[in-house]
Amino acid sequence: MSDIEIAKEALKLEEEAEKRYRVQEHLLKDPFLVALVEGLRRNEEEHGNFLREAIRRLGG
Amino acid sequence: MRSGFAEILKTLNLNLEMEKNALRVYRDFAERVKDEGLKDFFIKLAKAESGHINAIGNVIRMIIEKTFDVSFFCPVCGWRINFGRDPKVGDVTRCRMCGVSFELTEENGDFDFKRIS
Repeated sequence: MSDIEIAKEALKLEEEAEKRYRVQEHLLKDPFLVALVEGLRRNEEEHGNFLREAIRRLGG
Repeated sequence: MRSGFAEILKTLNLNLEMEKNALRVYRDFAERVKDEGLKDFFIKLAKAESGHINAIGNVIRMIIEKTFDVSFFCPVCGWRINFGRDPKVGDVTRCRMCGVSFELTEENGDFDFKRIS
């Protein structure tokens, strides 16, 4: 696998995680758990943004 | 299995497995990529996923050990209504912000609540 392919594979994982946490944010009723998954979702979102930028930088 | 948290524990455990898989994958990716910037990022990602694993694992442990408050958003004013750490179905609590009372219920293994005043 090339670096670009690896970065794209990682982006897929991050997007899946972000989507999963976003759904949970709306389903959970406990304020503490909502805050937890919101924090996780934001973190995955940042990672996804970095990976998109890296893919662009590498010419993908 | 801790009563009142069936679906939540199932969800948290699935999250934990997902994060553990991500950690394993990113460690592998950090070894394989040639670009130094990307290599550093995957090391950082693995560190982040380790943090996620610890956070989720701690919450699961707190729920099982009953050191986790059973709480909800008040449907009237949006504040936090709290039934405490080891409540029983039928327990009643009052929202400290708007004063409305709620009773703890359980449905399909998960705590829920209903308004009673």
